[in-house]
Amino acid sequence: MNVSAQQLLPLIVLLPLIGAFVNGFLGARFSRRLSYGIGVGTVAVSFILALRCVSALSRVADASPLDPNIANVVYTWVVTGMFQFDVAFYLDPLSAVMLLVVTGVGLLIHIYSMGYMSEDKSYARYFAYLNLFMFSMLCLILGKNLLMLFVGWEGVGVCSYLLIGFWFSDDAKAQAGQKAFVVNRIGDFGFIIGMILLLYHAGGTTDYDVLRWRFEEGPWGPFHDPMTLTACCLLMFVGACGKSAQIPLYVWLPDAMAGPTPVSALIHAATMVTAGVYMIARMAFMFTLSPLAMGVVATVGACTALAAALMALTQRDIKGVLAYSTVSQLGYMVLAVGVGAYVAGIFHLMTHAFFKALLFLAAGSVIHGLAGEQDIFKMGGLKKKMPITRATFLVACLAIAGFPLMSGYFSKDAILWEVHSRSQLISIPEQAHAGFSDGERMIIGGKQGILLTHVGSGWERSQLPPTDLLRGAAKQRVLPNLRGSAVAPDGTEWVVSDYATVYKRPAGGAWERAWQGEDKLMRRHLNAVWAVGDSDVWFVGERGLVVHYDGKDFAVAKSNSLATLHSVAAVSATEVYAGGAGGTLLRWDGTTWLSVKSTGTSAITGMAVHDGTIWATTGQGALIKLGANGAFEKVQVRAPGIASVRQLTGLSAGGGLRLAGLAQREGETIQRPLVLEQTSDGWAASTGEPTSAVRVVGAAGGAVYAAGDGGQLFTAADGVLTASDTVPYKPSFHWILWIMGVLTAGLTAFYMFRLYFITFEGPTRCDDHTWEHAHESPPVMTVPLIILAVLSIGGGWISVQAFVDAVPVFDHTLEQWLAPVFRIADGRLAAELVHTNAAYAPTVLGLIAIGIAWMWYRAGIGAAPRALAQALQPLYKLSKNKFYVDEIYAAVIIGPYRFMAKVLYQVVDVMIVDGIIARLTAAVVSAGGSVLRLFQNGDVQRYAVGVVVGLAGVIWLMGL
Amino acid sequence: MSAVTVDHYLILAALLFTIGAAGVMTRRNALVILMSVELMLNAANLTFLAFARMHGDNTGHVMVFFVIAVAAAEAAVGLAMVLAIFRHKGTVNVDDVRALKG
Repeated sequence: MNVSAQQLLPLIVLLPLIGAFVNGFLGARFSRRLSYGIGVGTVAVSFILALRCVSALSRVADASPLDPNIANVVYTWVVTGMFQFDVAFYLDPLSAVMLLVVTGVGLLIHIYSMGYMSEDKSYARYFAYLNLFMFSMLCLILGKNLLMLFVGWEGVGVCSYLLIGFWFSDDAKAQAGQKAFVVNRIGDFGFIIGMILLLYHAGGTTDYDVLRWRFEEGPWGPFHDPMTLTACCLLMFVGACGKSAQIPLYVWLPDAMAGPTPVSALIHAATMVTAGVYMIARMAFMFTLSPLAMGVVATVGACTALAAALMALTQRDIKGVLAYSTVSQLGYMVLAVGVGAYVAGIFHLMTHAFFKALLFLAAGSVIHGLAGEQDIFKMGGLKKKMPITRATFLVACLAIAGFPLMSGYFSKDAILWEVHSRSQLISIPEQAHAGFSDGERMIIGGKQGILLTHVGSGWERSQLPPTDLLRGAAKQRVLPNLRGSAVAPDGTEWVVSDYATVYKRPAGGAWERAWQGEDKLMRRHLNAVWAVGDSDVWFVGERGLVVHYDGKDFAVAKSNSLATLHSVAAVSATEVYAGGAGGTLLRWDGTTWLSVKSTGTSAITGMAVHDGTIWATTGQGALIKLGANGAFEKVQVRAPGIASVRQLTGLSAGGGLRLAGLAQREGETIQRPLVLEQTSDGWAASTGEPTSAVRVVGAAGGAVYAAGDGGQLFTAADGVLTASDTVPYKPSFHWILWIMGVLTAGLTAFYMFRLYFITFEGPTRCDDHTWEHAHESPPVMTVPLIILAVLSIGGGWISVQAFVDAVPVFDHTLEQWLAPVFRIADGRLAAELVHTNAAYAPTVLGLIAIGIAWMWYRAGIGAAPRALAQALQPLYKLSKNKFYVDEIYAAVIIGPYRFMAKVLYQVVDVMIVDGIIARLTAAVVSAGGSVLRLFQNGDVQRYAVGVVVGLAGVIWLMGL
Repeated sequence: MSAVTVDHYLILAALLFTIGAAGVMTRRNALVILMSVELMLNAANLTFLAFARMHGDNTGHVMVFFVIAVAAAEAAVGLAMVLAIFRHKGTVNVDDVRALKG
């Protein structure tokens, strides 16, 4: 029989569902063996089919390397208007990785469960839930659109709830299930709002292929403005926070350990909790568009990683340590996707699934062997009793600690290295008219309120808030085009824009709208700004608009001119010049604006102060030197290699004048963008490829930059202007995130080996009875451990080219394999491929931490950690009590919430609804009934009379 | 003598309908009430046929056949109920049958 991979896709998903139904509805009558067979068998077949599909995808990838995928639209569920929802499955390199991890690790955990649950009576229910989980998870990763993902997303949530509270007769465990469910609801609420927002803007589809195509175009994809885009990203990230246990919604995961240990391994370590990371990776093309959202994601990830690692340090419950370690590792993955290291994030997701599943299963083996004991302080010395468990646990510890050449080493290193070196490419605003430079810093502002600033080491992008636009009588919020900028001596930055709007940013503060003209003024644009002092700033604009800021208020000044003013500059508070269309030149003498003689027919396009003199550029390529009392002289600009300067459109000072404009080179007739720099004996010109004019010019960080209408940044060097569409932007906080990540790596190595040494080494602290009965688990449990141990050792090598070349099974390294999925996202990101010694930091720190754990715990719980805990009592308590987060939530959220519920119950429910509304309704209905029953006399003929009279009445009325 | 126009049929139908309605409202014998209902139905049939003839459209005939079929069923069910009531109460006087009084 020849079945295509496409047809197999739905089967992979449906088989566990069938298993769940059979075991769930008929399982009570099945023998243990049959139940196991159905539960494990369906997943095993799914795994085999998954292998086949992935190998088919590998062939597809060879044929069409740009966008390899296998898709199967099973049927269209809902079509209403523009909205369409298909039940469709989609296998691409990203979901293929997830598919193999979920079915592979899932199968091993199913097999292990046969041993672990061998003494539990509810085996059929257990396997039904576990299979249902597999179905939901596969739906989540193989869905072709966000709605399918959401169906799976909710499904895994339900299964998680059912399995955490699997032993529901224990109240604490049932409560833990509820906690997980409720906390996840909060996240899902954000997720669904984000999804609807996206659905609305993307024209009623959430299909990945369509979305990817829509997000490839334009700076914000299908969204109209960056705020909505960022809001959508952040809302969806709230969902990821819930599912992937990130601050502040991580609190459910440690409690989720109440479920059976294989469940902790499968759902709460290897698969479901990575759904948030998977979702962000899936929507990479959207998240990379919003630097703000990316920053939030990365910061939340790093904070979670570090905080959870600190909490794990002092836990005594073997599963508690692993739970916090899971939260911490998820933090790493979120950090990775937050800095745009998607491949590294998915890589860590995969290796983490191997070693964390192994850790949980080995811990389960310990708990199983010790008849339910979970306190590591009552263990110790177990290596004699459980050699296989101990060996595999050690392998997993080495892997998670990032010991060289283990799987965790490769993935964690990849993440930290990319956090260290990744930067985002930000696009240059179009119509860059607002320029300022003092030789040290540079400001470029353009369309849609986008502003680039170069301060210190690199470029940063800010989005200025919207302003009002008068449309008829109604105001509308718009993002204006920025037209001029200046910096005051105290560091306050000023920007002016369309619609008579002034923005300012105090040094170290945030951008705010400082002023906007009222009524008719609102229709005029402001073109230039000059800060004479901190509290003496001039703004000029269309139709002679001049505004002055005196440190407190903005006031419109009388300019006695109707010309459009393009520039303003001052050498002192009483010597201010403004220039504009038609050579208009105005002068402020401290009391009034006076019109000075026109400088000619061409507009004055820019002004700057150099050596105590005001210099101005004109639209016809002349440079004007303005003297005192309105005297001026034209200066000829000549530079070697330039036949004629056709236009000058902007200038800046700071270590010499720099001019921007258009010029013809000698022997050419075409006009080229031009940047002129003042040298000791004249001017040096740089020209670029013919394009629209450059409008702003300046120097920052030792380089000379210019920008113009076309959304390009020009860099002047050796007489040539080089254009680029983007500049790399690396948020400065990435350094902090990197340090947090490295610290977490050290802490992880320490607490994992603390766990290992206390549990398996040293003398035993078990009581005699438990020690007598401690035993190694049966092969059905140890074989999955061994397989996972092999994967934990070797799982990282698929990122190494040499290994992939040597082993014929693999055609690609993980990075090559995933490259097409993140093609769009990677196009907006840049990595400096520089190797520095900092790359060794996490490994070295990890090894030191292992050494410390060895010194302190190799022979029982040593004196040193006890002394340290005594010395740092408050910190120790803080960590041991998990930073009191549960208590804070209880006091800040749950307490007031309960109080409010109680008030609402007492007042609204008991008094108003039950007391007034219910009784009133009953009284009205009862009274109405007793009147109406008079007409119900049982005499059919009277009814007939009623009908006839009524009919006659209707006819009579119609005749009227 | 003028020809029989559609008006004549309609007037006859109206008369029949009024007689039937009056019978339904005034007579006390359940059997007579059923007969009066038949009269009203046939008045409606006559109207259908008159208009069908006027417009030369057979849809009216089709409706009449339906009405006849339904009327037959109605008579059968109605008579069965009258019989049941008679067996139960020993009377067919509708004034005595008021079990649904509220």
